[in-house]
Amino acid sequence: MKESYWGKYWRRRVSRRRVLAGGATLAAGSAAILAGCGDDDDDDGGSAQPAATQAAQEQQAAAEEEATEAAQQAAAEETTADEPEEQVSEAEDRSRYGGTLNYSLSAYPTGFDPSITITFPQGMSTSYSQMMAFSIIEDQFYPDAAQSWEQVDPETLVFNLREGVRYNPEGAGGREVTSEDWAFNLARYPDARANRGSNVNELFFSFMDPGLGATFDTPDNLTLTINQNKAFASNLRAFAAASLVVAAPERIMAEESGDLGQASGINAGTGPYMFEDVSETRVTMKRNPNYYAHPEQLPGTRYNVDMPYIDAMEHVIVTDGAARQARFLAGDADYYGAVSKIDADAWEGQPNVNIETGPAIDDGGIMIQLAAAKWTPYPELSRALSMAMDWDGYIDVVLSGEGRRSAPVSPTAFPKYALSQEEIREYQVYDPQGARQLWEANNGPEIFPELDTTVAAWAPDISHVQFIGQSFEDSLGVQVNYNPLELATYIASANGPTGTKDWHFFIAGNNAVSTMPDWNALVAYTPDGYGAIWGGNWYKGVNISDPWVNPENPNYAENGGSEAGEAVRAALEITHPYARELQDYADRQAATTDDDERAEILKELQRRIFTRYCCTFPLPTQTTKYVALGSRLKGLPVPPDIDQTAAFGMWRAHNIWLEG
Amino acid sequence: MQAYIVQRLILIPLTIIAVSILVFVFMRVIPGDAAAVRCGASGVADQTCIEGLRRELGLDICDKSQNFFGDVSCTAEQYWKWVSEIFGGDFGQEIVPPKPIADQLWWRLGNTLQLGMLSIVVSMGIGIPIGILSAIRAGKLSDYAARLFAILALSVPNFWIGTLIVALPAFFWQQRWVPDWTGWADPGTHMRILVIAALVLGISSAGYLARIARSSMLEVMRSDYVRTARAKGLRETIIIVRHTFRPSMITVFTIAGLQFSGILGGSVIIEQLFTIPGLGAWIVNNVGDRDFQVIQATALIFATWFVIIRLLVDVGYTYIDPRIRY
Repeated sequence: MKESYWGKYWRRRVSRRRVLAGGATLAAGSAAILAGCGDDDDDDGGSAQPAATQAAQEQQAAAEEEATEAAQQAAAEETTADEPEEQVSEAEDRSRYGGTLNYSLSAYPTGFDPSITITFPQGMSTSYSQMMAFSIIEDQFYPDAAQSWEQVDPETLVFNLREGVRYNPEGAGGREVTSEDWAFNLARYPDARANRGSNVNELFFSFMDPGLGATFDTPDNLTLTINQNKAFASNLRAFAAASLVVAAPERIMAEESGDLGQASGINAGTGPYMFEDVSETRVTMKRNPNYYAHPEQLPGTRYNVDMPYIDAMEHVIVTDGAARQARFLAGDADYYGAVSKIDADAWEGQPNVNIETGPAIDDGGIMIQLAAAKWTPYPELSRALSMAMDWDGYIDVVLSGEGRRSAPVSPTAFPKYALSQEEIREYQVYDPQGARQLWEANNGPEIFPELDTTVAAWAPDISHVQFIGQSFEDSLGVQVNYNPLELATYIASANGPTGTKDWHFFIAGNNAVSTMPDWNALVAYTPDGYGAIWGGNWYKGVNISDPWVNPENPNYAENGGSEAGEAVRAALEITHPYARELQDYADRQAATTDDDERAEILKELQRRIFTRYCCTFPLPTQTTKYVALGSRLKGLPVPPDIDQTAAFGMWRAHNIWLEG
Repeated sequence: MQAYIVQRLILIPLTIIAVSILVFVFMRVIPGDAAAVRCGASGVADQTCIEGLRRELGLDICDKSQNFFGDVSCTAEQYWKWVSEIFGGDFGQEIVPPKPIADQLWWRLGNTLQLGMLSIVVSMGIGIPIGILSAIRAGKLSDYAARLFAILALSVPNFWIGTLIVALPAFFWQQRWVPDWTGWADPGTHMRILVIAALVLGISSAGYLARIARSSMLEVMRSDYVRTARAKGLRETIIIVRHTFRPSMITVFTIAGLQFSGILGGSVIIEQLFTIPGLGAWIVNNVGDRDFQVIQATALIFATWFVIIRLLVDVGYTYIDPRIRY
């Protein structure tokens, strides 16, 4: 068949820079936490053919599996072998102390409360301390504010706190942290202002929510016992999150708003740095003189015994992208972050730039989210949509041939819990003829005469969205409409109760790598999470769509009697059974103490997600990570290590220094 | 004249009130609000969070579900409250960072005014002499050069020039011509940033002014009284300075006045690019965040600025051309 002009147009290679920029912007706008780019292995080059042969696919998948394992192993070895501590002389070590690390921030931080703020990880993870850090690559915990911990039974977790951990001089007068302080912070977390109503947080932190029955015992100042309300397999990993930290309770309570968003109340932590000055144009941090020592030097640790090498940090707010780039290239900023291969190549040879390359462990790609209420009644149509998507073409065109299939559990970060590439390929098959037949046989043209999608108007490029739309148009013969919206309208469009969405599919950011293998599976794929319908329906066991569906609810009169109320009610009747089904898998894997059994349940969960074809399709992700760093910055964790959680990756690393 | 000024002064608050109503209403009509943006930006984005924040921020007072504008009487009450507070000098509270708007408003206005004034100096300082030169040397090489400058200045977008100034030196020479903002703590750096930004902002206005000044000068130079002056044997310099320049400046002055207002619009982009903490950059950030209070306050300031400049321009006519009477 002769290919049309538009067919060729959509087959052209789209630069990764454009896709990354678009994806990142979309991810930010769609409230995904970070628009990472990432992934691991290679693919089949993603030709224009509908699919490779079965044998070739199997061979390819096997090669990818091997490559993934090798990359993981190499990364772990590199992380361990890269440690400079044992290799440097004392004099050399001393010369590393000092200097001000300079960053560019793209916006003023949305707040300074570590339990709420996710837009300022550099500041939060350096001014507060969490119990421990967790390395995904090494699958290892490193003690931080806790000296040790013990899972006494599936529902009892005991932390032995480190002695000598004190707040900075402006935080609670520099007094020592107690187990009571920790209990206060952990109990506060679910109800901290912006966390209220977050069913995402509830999924992962409800095991210690006092509102759901968890209790805290503090037999002495250095012992904290958490009596969980339920078993939760990811509980220890949850404590490696940079948001579960200790802040001085008296500082929090002194704030009228109940959080530390006010600049006056920000110095309430125990981390290696404290805030010195916060203005509309910059945030500066200096050393916390009360910072505690880390005498245990485990292999692979990034903590120095006493304190970080670098003296101070300056975060300059530069909202314009070109200006941020100029600042970095001129050597005024020491860190830039992830860049596309095109930028990495273009910046090669720049005297102030050092490009680090490594396998991408984060699965922070993007995904196709379907408005659950519209698609759950028609599983065959959503399946047709999956078959209409040119998966390999996406890798070839959008990811420049450097990509791999993704899944609800990241294949790169959590190989043990993830499905193989081969198996994912079985679920993600590109079959345009079959898709068209299925679509037409199930009244697709009548039910969905057109498909609407919402795109970020500020995104520099939406060609990845257009590639997907074009796949649907080519395969199904359906017209796809792109509605560009600015940030607030975009968020408003994504939000709203089930049944009221004004789009059919939405290309949203996936979450960046989390320490929890079940994170994406629960957040992004269940219709009750904030993924597929982006705006969950329940919180603390209560259906928050209640005002729409329950006539006895006092607010029902405003919502339930309306047309939208009817739509919500109808949608929930369909989406809830499936959401409950997924939740059942989630609960079972969280409750098991046998890791192999847990892995099997997580795989079952993913198979169910893939075979239900609703309501999220993970898009392929990149295999290689390129990170741009200032040339005077030394001792850095390289990719993929740099990409680990804020609490373990670059932000918290003590052993980075500034040369000269 | 005095009666005219009084009349205009009475119209100023009416204009501002009209603008305030428009801004207030439109901000409530467009979808999304600060609660949705904040919950979305913090990775939560579900209804409970949004509704909770709406309550905390007072955004739930007038429920939009009642009708398109929400409960009209409630919205009117909210508007009245806002206006009353402004008369008391209270512009409300910014959401991020949670600080009184008034604290930032005047400081940022100062930065924007500095940029605006400098760009007007650039615009008039470059545009008018070039326009005059072009008119005096009409048809000669210098005229063509001046017109080429005017066309280039008009046709090249200032944000593009600004981006080049920011990006190219960094890429090729690892230097920045526009350093980080310091304010008056470092006067040299402060002026360097403002002068470069003003050059970028003022250059396209200069092109426009050059064209207007040229055509206006040419028109006056062809008038009968100028011909008479020449016939009397007056020197060309005297004809230009004494008899041509001043009358030809009425149009230029009008355009310059309008451009001074327009420069505010340009500052929205230039302030972002050069990281100048002014009103322009502020309003852009807060439109995205749907911070109604900041947008309303900034829009009011812009509107006030505009009507005052228009008044000054109108009054200024009488000084430039004594024949004009109100």
